This record gives sequence, C-alpha cells and structure tokens, in this order.
Amino acid sequence: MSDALLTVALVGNPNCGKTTLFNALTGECRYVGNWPGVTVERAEGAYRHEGREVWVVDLPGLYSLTPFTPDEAISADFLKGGAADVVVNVVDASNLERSLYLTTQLTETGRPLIVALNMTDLAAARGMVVDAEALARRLGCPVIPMAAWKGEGVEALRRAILAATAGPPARPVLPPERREEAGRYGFARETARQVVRQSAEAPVLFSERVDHVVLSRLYGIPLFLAVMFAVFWVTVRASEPFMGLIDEGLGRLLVEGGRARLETLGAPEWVRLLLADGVGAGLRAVATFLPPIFFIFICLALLENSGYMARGAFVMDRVLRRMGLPGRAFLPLLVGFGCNVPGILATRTLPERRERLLTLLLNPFMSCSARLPVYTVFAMALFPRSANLIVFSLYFVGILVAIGSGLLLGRTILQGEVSTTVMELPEYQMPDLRAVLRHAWENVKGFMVRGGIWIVSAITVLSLANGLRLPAGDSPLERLGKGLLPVLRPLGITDENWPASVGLITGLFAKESVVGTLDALYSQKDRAGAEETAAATGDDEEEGPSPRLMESLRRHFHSRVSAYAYLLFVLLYSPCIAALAAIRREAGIGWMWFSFLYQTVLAWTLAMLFYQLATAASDPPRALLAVGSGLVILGLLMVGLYVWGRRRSAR
Amino acid sequence: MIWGFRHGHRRCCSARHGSAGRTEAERSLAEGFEGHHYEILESPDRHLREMGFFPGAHVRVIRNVPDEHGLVVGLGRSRYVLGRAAAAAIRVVDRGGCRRCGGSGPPSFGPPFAGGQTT
Repeated sequence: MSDALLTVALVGNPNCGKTTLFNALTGECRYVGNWPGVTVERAEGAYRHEGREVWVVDLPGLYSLTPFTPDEAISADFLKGGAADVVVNVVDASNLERSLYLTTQLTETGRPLIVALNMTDLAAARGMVVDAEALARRLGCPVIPMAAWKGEGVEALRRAILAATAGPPARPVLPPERREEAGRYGFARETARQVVRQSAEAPVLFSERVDHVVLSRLYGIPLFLAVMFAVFWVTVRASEPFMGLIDEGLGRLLVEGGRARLETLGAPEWVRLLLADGVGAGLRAVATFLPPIFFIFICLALLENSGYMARGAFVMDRVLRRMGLPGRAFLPLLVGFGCNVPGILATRTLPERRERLLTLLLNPFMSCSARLPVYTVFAMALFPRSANLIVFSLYFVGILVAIGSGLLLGRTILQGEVSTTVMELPEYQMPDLRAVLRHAWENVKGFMVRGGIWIVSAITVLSLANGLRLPAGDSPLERLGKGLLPVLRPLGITDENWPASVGLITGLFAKESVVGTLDALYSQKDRAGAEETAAATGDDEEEGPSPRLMESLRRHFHSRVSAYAYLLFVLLYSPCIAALAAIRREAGIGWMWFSFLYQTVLAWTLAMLFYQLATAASDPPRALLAVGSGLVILGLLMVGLYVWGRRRSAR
Repeated sequence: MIWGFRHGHRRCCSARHGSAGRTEAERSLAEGFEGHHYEILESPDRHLREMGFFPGAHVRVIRNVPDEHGLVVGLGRSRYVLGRAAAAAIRVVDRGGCRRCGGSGPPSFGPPFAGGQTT
C-alpha cells in the first residue's frame, strides 16, 4: 500500500452529522450545532490508520452538486476539482430518501465512494431499520451503519476508507439517459422503499408538540425574548463572583504584588511599568473577562445544540421580512452574538447577494462576546443592582438598531425582493454536555490566546507610552486621548477621563481591549495622583494598593448616564479589525468602509442623543442644540442613503 | 388543543373543508390544511425539488397560518419552514391522513413506511 497522503472528502446534506463524524475521525473539536448551515467553510484534519496518513476534508452541506448558495459552491467545486481520493457520503439514516438524490450524483464523480449511514440510533428510536447490506448492493459501494456522535461505526469506516483506495471507483447507479431529476428521484424513492422498514407507526414527534408553543404567534416572540434575557441573566450573575475573585486575587498577586517585589529587587521604574502595570495588569484583565465569555458560550451552545436556534429564525421571520431579509438570515445574526466574524461568514448560506450584504452589514450590531466583558465590568461597577438588566438592555438596543438599520438600508441602497424561505427545522435534542463544555472551553481558550495577545500587548504598550513624558509634562497618550475629547464631550466624557477615548481606539483592534486599556491607564493615573497628593501633604508612607478596576470606573465616569452613553458607543461603533477584514473578504473594500463609517456615525449620534436627552434638565438650551444636531445628522444620513439607493437602482 | 394555537390556522375540520377530511381536490400547498397529507404533483423550483419536494413525494402540513409568511411542513422525517410564495407554487393533491377528522393515514403509501415518504 502506498504511503502517499490520502484525501477523504466528507459530503452530505446539511445537518446530517458530517462535522460530528469529522471530529470522531480526526479527534478535532470543530463546533457542531443542531441546525443546518453550521459549517460554511472547508475544515481539514488528519488521522493515521494502519500507518497511512489520512487527510479529512469536512465540506459544507449541500443537496445536490448544482450549488444554490456560496457555501454549497465550496463543496461542489471541491468535489468537481477531483482533489478527493475517496468520497464519504454522510447520509441521515432517518431521512434516507432525500439523501439519496445527492448519492446518485456522487456515484458519477469517478471516485471511490463510501456511504456512511449515520444516525442509525435516531432512526431506530423512531422504529426505522435500514438494511445496510441491501443498500450497499443497490448503490454498488460500501455502506457503513454508524452513530458518529457515540463513536459507533467509526473504526469500520476507517477500515473501509483504506480498502476503498485499493478498489475501483464508484459506478454510476443510473444509466446516462436517466441522469436527470426524475430519474434520480425515482431511484431514491425505489431504493428507500426496498431498504427501509418501519416497525411501528411513526409517533407524533416530541419536537412537533414543543413547536406548537415555541412557534406560536402568541408566545413565540415573548418566549424568545425571555430565553435571551435568561441567557444574559445567567451569564452576568454566574460570572459576578468569579470576576470579583479574579480581579482581587490577580490584582494582589500580579499588579501590586509584582510591583512590590520589583521594588524590593530594586528594579527601575520602566521595568515596574512594563511587568507589573503592563503584563501583570494585562493578564489580570484577560482573566477577569474569562467567566462571562465561558458562561455566554455555555448558554449559546445549549440553545444551539437543543435545536431552539432554528425556531428563532421562524419566530423572527416576520420582523426580518420587513427589513428585506428572509427568516434564515436570523441564524448568521445569532452566530454574531458569539463572534461577528463567523456570523459574517455564515451569510454564505443565503442565496442572494443583496441579502448576504444586508445581513453582514447588520451582523456587527449583534453584540459579540468580546463586548460582553466590557458591559459586565461597567454594569457591575456602576449599576450593581441591575447589572443583568443593563447588559440585556445593551443587547436589546443592538437588536433594535439592527432592525432600524435593516429597515433603512433595505429601503434605500439594498432594495430588492426577499428570497423564499426554505429552512429545515432540526429536531430538539438533549444537548451533549461534553460538547457544550468543550465548545465553551474552546472559546475561552481562543479568547485567552487572541484576546490575551491583544490585551496584554495593548496594555504593555499603553503603560510604557503613558510613562513617557513630553516636554509639556503630559504623556503622548494623554495628548492623544485629550485630542479626541471634543468629539466625546457630547457623550458625557469629561476632560479628566481622557483614558476613555484611548480605550475606544484600542477597542478597534479588539473590543475586549477597551476595559483593559481603561484599567491600565486609570491605575497609572490614580497612582500618579496619589503620589502628588502624598508629596503635597508631606506624607511619605508607602502607597496603598492600586485601585481595582471597578472602583476606578466609578471614580472616572462622573455619572451613570455618561457610562451608559459610553457603553452605547462601544456597542455600536465600528466593528473590530477582524470583523472589518471579514466584511472586506465577503463583500469588498467599499462595503468595509461603509460599515466602518455608517456604524461610527450612528454610534456617536445615538450615544450623544441618549446622553443629551437624559441630562436635558440640567441645561435645556445645550441639550436642545445637541439633539437638533443629532437629528440633522440622522436626517442627512437617511437622505444620503436614499439618493445613493436611487442611483444604484437607476444603474 | 394547546392554548394559543387556535385562531387563524387552516384546520382540516373547518367549515370550508367539510367534515370528511378527505378530498382529492388539487390545490397549492399554501392552501393545505394542518394535519393533512398531500402528494406533490408539480414543484417548479429546482432547489426545492433537490431538497425532496419533488413530484410524487408526500408532505404533511404541520402548521399553516395564512397571515404568516412560512408554513411548517413535514417531508419524510424532516420538517421545513417553507415560504408561502414557494408553497403556493407547489401543486398538491390531498391524500387525507388527518387524525382530527378520522383519516387513518395516507391511503396509498404502500408498505408501513415507504422510505421516508410519510411522516
């Protein structure tokens, strides 16, 4: 047997368990969700079997080799390109007839074909038995019964893959004159008739009973909102004690402790700045953010694994259609709550370019998990009694602004017919707790690496930069922050709170950096203030512990209204660089700049309007002027989009 | 009856349909009654046909509220949300099968389970 690398393509209908099988074969931990369209990109992994290196390619689901959406095109192109040595067609045993349409096409690819008859356990639970041997005879290729999520049949599939390399390619099951739709349906139907036996009358599914309530017009939307509120409530409340402990513990250990140890060792000030205030404070900030990230991903994974997410698309269909989007656009938007980048990539499941564009432009309004730590820390510091309400309100505002933007963009620059909704409703299932925990852990790990690098680097650089002194006595950062203040003053940011404007700049690189930046800059600012006070009063006692992040926030944001306005801006302003890059990749550089400008202008205007209206009683003429300006900006934005839309239509 | 799931639905026992619950009338799938099984006669959309909505396949209408954009239909062992416009383009013939009005299942489905055709 040759030792050459063997490439195996996993292909099948959406939601038939391809990624579960991919994980079982390769030991990878790719995310598995209980809704169609989780995989929108090729995923690759490898395993060794009997001394042979096998490269496995997990492809997005498709119904036929004639692609309908960009993600289906990825699969079809790969298969037509002939890169696969063996094709494994993953087939849902409980839904055989539909799956066999694609199988008939795969027998014509000229490659060895294996049918992985997956979900046999689910079929058996419904009283269905598939005669695998009869199916193999009918298709002329090996059929391996399996339940990939339990690991059943995986070894047999590995053996079959190696055996297939030595065997002939699959033979077409249909003669050339029958290779059209009717011929394929006929074959699929006849095959299913011959090999499937139903031992008892199919019961009314549990999912159908649940859906009577979940999809109902009366309870659907309230239930959806209640579920989302519960997600944020659990996230905030469960994170709270851990965040406090980590903030306190690591602050003592790494920041104050580190500084004290370095002082004892006689390290110069710049080393103390770099290690204690830079790296130490950065690590503390990263660790403080881990609990909300962990809990939000646990909650979202529970919802996705249970099958509830697809129902959300149905419930929200009416709202989305008003915005010019089909109900299935809801799924990429929901993915955006975890991270906007995969949410933007998930728009590939939509068939129309206009709908893909609109969905990806709205995606950054879905508040991603990187913004959650910012809200959580602010909410716990400034709104301790109603922290979960504040966090929920921010998510809700994001959704409302997305709806408003959808209505605006869908009626101006992205007008068009809404495509027909066709979406599979997966069955409800008990979430696999191991998979849920693994998913949460993978995201926490990803955050620790990605966010950790950004935050620790940003804080280290900021600490050093803040330690520098210009001839006028201020630091370059202070000058930069103060330079931006005229723009942020209408949002309630005071001159003393210049680190808030620096936080917004670092937030462009990674949103979670906002709080880390504030932490680093406030610590240094407060320490400098304490030293000045001590010098002025002649008090030469050792400096006290540096103020904790939450205390600093309370001190620097002069009011809750200004803190909330700041959070609104963080919620709505430009997507982070990774999300902008994803928009550029999917839609082009023009739409990337549009997204940046549109969101930043909208964020500033809405945050300003909120602050000015909330504080109007203290200075009515100023508020009136500011609100008037805000409304003019919004009006100009709408007129601009309308004119642009007319020009696009004319073209 | 589950609360909140009563009004506006196209139920098979409505006056318009009659009590027999079985008709051979050809109609669009969008006009289908909840609980009824239909055989597809014509399905103009290629993508839908590839998903299994092909002539000869049997579908069951699970949820049909006329002012909602989507219908929920069962096809084989899968359930789909199908846009009303797409459903309106699919021509079907009623094969009964409604428990509510005494139907005992699709009458011409052959063996107990015909490879994913019934739900």
